[in-house]
Amino acid sequence: MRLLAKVDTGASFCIFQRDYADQLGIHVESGLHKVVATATGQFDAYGHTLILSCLDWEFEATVYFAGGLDYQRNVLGRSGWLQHFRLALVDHDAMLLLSHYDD
Amino acid sequence: MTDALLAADQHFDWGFLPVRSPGFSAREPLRIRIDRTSQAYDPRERGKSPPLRAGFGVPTRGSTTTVEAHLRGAQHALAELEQPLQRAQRDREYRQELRWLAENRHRFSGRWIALEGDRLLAAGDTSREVFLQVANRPRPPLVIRIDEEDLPFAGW
Repeated sequence: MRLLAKVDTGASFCIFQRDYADQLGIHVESGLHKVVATATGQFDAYGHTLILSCLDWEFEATVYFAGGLDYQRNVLGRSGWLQHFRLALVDHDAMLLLSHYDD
Repeated sequence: MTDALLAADQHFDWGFLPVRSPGFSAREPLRIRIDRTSQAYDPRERGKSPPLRAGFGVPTRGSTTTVEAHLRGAQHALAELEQPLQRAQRDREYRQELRWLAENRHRFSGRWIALEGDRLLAAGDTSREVFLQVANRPRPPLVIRIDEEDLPFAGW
């Protein structure tokens, strides 16, 4: 499946909407449970290992799915995504440079 | 095939064709040589000969490159040539999707949609409803929920 996600360098993990897990046939609550803190509160998330692909790169990663359907964001955080890449941001020029860490 | 090999060779620094001798021109047809050794073949030696060897371009004495190695190199190079085309198509589709979203998202506020380039494939109130409508497509479309309000994102 394909979706849009926001890169968040301040996020510890990658977290996706529960809908995608349901569509993949993943039993969300069987994953590694974590309580995730946000600026406005906290919520339950469950970790599962799957294959992520981005541009030409594809790799296995542990990502988290929100326990509730009210979580409506897809976030790429440090563990599972950012740690695979070298990323440079020149916001003034609306430019993001990305390469795989091993390239 | 010859044109493809030459085209591919021009696009790769490492090349998969052997270094050309000074007299070789890219305009010349590619010459393929297949022999058993770098020396003249003696029919009386049939049956005792070493494995087939081949060289592309101008024959060079002592070439040890096999036909299989050249073909593997050619296949690899052609596959590498495919990649930029696929990437260009993917990038074009992605830009079309972002443009479509910028122009139409207000019409689908709070709903799930499936997009492929600038074509809306499905829309519904639940993700399940939309995924069901695009289940049999060969390539997965972009399936997302449109935020009810396009508020700035402040991280979390």
